[in-house]
Amino acid sequence: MDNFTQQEEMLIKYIDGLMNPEEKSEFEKNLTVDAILRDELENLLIAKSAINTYGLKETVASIHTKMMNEFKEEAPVRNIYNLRKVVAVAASIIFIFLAVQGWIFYNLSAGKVFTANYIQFVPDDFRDGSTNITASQKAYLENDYKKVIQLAAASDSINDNFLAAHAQLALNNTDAAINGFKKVIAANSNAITSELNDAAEYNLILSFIKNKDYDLALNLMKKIKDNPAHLYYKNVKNKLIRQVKMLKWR
Amino acid sequence: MEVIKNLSDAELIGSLKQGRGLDAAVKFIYREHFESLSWFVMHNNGNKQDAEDIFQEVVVSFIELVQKDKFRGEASVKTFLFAMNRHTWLNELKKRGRSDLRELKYETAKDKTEMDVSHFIAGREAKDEVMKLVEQLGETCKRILVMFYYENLSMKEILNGLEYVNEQVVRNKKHKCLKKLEQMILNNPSLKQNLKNLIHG
Repeated sequence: MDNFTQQEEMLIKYIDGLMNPEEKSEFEKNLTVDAILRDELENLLIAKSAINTYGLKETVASIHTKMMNEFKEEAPVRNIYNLRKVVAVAASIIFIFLAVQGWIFYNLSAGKVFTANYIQFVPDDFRDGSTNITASQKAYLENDYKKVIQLAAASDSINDNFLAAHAQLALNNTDAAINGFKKVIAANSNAITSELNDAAEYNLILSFIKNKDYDLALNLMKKIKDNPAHLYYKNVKNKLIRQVKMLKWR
Repeated sequence: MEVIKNLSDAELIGSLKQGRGLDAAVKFIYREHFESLSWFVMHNNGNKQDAEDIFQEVVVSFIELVQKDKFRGEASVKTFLFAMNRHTWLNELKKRGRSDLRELKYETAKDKTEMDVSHFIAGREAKDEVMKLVEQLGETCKRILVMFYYENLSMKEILNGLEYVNEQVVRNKKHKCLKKLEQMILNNPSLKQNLKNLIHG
């Protein structure tokens, strides 16, 4: 046995909770009358509480280190979560874009593209208020398309043939309209003129579209797109080219 | 990464009181509250290290309160921890003599509903001194005392982890170590008084 006094032994036994009930009762009785013993006990209790404070701080410090490491490890995972969110948003946008494009694609038709881009022809002579119009023009303005076609059949006039091609379009005779516009272009080429030539080319494109001859339409559109001086250059928009390509894929 | 079970306030308090499951409970506190409480410190003139130190301090104080049965659930654990965190950080700033205390966010927003936890928080300095003092005891003394008083291990369990011949030798060593610590505390009257306040506070 080390050199502890009996009192010290009893004090430590007491704070360690190792006394039997009788010993404990006797010891507590002594405490009430012995101030020095009370003081000694308090000192030991303070030392014991210091150990508990130390133990708790050490435990929390150890967990703290572990948790800080875990949080560090989780940081890249959080970044992955963020990346996933970004990808999800991007995917949603792409999905919406594709859905819209799909809807447009589904609803697109040659007829709709033709109607959206066709410009009703108004003869120049009539546009400036002149009453001096040809029989062909008069018939066209009266929507008498058959008469327009009849008159053109007996005429070499570019104007009459141009009107006849429009009349064929109005009567849904697309093949005949294509031939009519081609005839206008050929006549200009032969005579080295340009009367209604740009209008004929533009309307030939629309006739090709209506007739589902998309490659022919695209070739002619490319020709106009390459020529900013063409009167219908601005009418051949990228949107129209895109629509014709979509129609071609269908 | 360890999966930490979600605990209700009552379950958390139960785990902290019993001591069993203390590690899991502390980890839960970290997972649930570290981010928001450290945010407060870091956005009020503190850095990351300050935030970590204050949080550790708050967790230790909270566990002591719970184990002394002084947390009665007057507020949620979250509210209580936030108030402790705020109070501890304010005290730290005062100690540092920061003149920009008035700029502290939330300080101006303080209202009557905010908890006053000042009387719950024991002296930080006293605890720091205790840490130093126990370290001075030496590794063996420290281990024996912590295993016996903090971890509540039996003499037999302690003997298994140490190179002593029998339990009586360990018991004598423990007595010596405790007396040594007692003497060290007696040599520091202000620390003794602070620790006395901690016990009775």
